[in-house]
Amino acid sequence: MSARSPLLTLWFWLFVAFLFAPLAVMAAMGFRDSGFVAFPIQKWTTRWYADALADRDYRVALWVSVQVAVWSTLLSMAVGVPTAFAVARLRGVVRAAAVAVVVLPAFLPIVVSAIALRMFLGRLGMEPGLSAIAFGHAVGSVPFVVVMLLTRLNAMSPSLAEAARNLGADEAIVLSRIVLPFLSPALFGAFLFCILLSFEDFMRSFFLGGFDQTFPVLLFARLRFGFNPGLAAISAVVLAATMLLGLHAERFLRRRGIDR
Amino acid sequence: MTARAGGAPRTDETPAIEVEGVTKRFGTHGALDDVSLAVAPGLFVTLLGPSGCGKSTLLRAVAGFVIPDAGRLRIGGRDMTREPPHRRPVSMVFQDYALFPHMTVRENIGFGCEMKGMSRAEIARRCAELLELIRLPEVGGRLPEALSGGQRQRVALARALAPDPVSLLLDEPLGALDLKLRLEMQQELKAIQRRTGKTFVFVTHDQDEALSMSDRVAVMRAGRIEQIDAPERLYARPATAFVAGFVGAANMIAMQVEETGAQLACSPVAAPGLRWVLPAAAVSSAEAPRRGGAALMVVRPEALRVGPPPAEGFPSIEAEVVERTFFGGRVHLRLRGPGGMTLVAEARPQDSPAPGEVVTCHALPDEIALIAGDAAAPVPPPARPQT
Repeated sequence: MSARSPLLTLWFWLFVAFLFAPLAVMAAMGFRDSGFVAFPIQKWTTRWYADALADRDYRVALWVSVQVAVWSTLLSMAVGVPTAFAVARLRGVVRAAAVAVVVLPAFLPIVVSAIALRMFLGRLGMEPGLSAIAFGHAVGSVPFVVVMLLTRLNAMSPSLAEAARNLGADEAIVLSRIVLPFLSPALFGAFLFCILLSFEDFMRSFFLGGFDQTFPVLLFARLRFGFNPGLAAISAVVLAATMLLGLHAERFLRRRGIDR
Repeated sequence: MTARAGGAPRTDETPAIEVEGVTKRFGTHGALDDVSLAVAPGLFVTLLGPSGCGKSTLLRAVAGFVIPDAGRLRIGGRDMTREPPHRRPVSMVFQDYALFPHMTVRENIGFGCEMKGMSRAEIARRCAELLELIRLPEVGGRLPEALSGGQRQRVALARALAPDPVSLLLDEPLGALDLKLRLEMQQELKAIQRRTGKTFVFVTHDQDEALSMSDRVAVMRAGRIEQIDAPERLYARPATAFVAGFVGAANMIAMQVEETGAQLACSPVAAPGLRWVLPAAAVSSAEAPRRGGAALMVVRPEALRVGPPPAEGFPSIEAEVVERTFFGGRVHLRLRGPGGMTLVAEARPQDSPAPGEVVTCHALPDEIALIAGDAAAPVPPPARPQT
């Protein structure tokens, strides 16, 4: 922070507190040596954390979540990237209409789209479960992939591809050596965003999951038996893991010098 | 790169670029209308014209980004009308440079060589050589964003030269630079062209740029080439009213041809009482003047001299000085002649009259161009695009 205004500094720290205080409380709750969540914490323990890490159900649900995240992300990229290329070629009203159609799913109430997907996939003969969830997540993520890619594509001067062609590159080389590297920050960003969207999704996972529970769905199921420090502990662990991943991704981007 | 002594154009060889009757329409708008052009190897040829005249379309057609509806195109003697852009031996320099932002300067320059399948060692040698040529030997490892505008421009030039193309195609490459840098780059570009002996086809709307850099200038208008000539000739002998007005300042006096036999006599439309006799060589249009037909007399401001003519029969006119503008070494005079005719003259400060004075002006016959026939049809004053 180069701004030295004290008011701005105060504001900044208030903002940080607003963001992180609930998370800190949650993480602290995981150390409470009691069956209930309450303040103040009089006795401390690491039992909840140890239990959470040892809990087989959590690990199974996390593994389901990871698989769903990866598959749905791959699927939404596979659909979204070519769609972005196609939309980028359009002009005028047609383009506006195409963008509207592509982005529409992002504005549907998720409950509605989840129920619709359940019925639709049932019609297709796809049983509720891991692949149904992955499919549902992909449907939800495609708009974001398209929009992120489209923004980057719009920033690309058409003369870049022309220059490459002019210097002897055919279409395939232009794509692999010029267009994709230029898009890489957006591709990477879209990838991460899809993973996170999928990982945190509850609604679609709930409606489309059969016996396969994703992590948020399992947490919800556990909640029905009451909120105990164990839930706080496992949430804190997941939070830490996600943050590490995010920070690493950011460093990766910086090192590659492609975050501009 | 073949170094060549001197800058004398070689004209006895196969043209580097040959355009034959190329036509291109975009929707109903005709961008190129039966354009033909032959560029001799080693020449610096400029396509000059206002925006929308088709000069960039013609360049892009040579590069292969625009496929003509009709006509043929040969590069280095080979027919390339249907060849895709990546198989044409021409290199383009774009107005926005189009340097690949994720590649270093060296990778940018080497890209074309890499596509030609040159070895790493060859590419490295070529890059070093070109970085030397553009006098930026130390920037090879940098990304384009770390360069100044002028440096980017030079790197773009080096990248285009690297694969040793038959010709360089430059699409308003100096348009994005400020005036001072622009003048510097004009010199630099011309020097590099001389040193490498490469054929340059340069597109611009700036007549100063065109006149100062080129061996040949093709003036374009509405999808056609109006005239192609050496800069001096273009200035002194404009073939059409448009060329006369677009290239340099000019007094353009509407005339009526009176006599076409042994001597060419004509009268200004605004002042039918005057009668001027011109040598037949004054006619610069393709069409010859017809008796009773319209013509346009072109006299550059510096050729309109203040003072009585040295001999009888020289075209001369009485005019009143309306305005005198001092420019240091010279003054601009705005004069009003008979019939409300407005004339512009350029004179030395010491022998220029003051506003209000009525003076006699004359022009030497060999400094007059007469455009006859359709080419004399008045054109609306060219809208200079501001870039």
